[in-house]
Amino acid sequence: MEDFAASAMAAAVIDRRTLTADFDSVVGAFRPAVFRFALACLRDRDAAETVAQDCFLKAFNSRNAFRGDCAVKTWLMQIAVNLIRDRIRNRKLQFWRRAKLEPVDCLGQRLDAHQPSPETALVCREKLAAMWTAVDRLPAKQRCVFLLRFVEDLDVLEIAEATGMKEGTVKTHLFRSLATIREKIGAAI
Amino acid sequence: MNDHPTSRQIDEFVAGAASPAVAGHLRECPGCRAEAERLSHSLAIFRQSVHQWSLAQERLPSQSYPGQSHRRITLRRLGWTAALAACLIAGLTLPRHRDAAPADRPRPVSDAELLVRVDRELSELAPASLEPVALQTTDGNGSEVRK
Repeated sequence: MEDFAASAMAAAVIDRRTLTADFDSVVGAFRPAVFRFALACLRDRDAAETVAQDCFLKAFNSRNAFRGDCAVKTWLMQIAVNLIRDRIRNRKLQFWRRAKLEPVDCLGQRLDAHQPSPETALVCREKLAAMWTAVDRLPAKQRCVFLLRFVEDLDVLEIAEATGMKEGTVKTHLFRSLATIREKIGAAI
Repeated sequence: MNDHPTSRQIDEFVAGAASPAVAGHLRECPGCRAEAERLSHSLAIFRQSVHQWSLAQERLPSQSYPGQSHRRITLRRLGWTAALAACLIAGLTLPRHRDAAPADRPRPVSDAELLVRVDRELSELAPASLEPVALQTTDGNGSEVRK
């Protein structure tokens, strides 16, 4: 959690000038977020690392073209969204190759550390498992919007900029994803 | 707002896009607020789990430099393609060689047959004036025979 707080603080002070003058600090501040988003979308560590690497390579090559119309994080997420979209498309083409999804069974282990009772921990774990399954089954666009909003904390406008969708389309995907998740985990929440 | 908000309106509130009326109702109504908090709590747990999972994955010792796995897959794919191409070429060319082999290979001929053939070729080449000479052939023992 300390790492997350540190990278969040570093990310807050990154602006257009930093992007051109000190690209290492941009990588340091935003690499965790890009990797995390790619990992949550693709569920494949190798693929997520490749996406993160390609994302920063593209960002470095086009850093002078960044006009500062949006936050640096939004701009990086825009690059990441496109890279992930390409990967998902390629994966669909490789219909004979089964995607190797990373297991997420152990996710709730550290979460339970602060829970007061085993019963609460169990409920928490069940809730989490149901949530992961529900998110995993969302259509790609809904999952992308959902993760950007609820994991990366981007607001609707930033998501629209990152995905190239209209604000209304983002809202539609967001509320549909929430409705699906509510329905799928109805008993757990 | 007297009516309770719909599930959709609660979702909008959780997503940070609720109207002021819905937000006001949720502040006043404990039941609706509890429903919104349950959903928010689930989302918060999910968010935390993704962060922790990502950190754990990032900290795993990397067995390969970035892009190596992709390159390994590409090389393996190239290897398989080359092997397939080799099999196809072999499959296409070998039957042709097998078919062609009996026609090209000289059939074993006995000495007597060979001599008869040579005589026949010589007699065909001989001019008409020398025909009687050409009619001289050899028998199987090699002695000259006049026909």
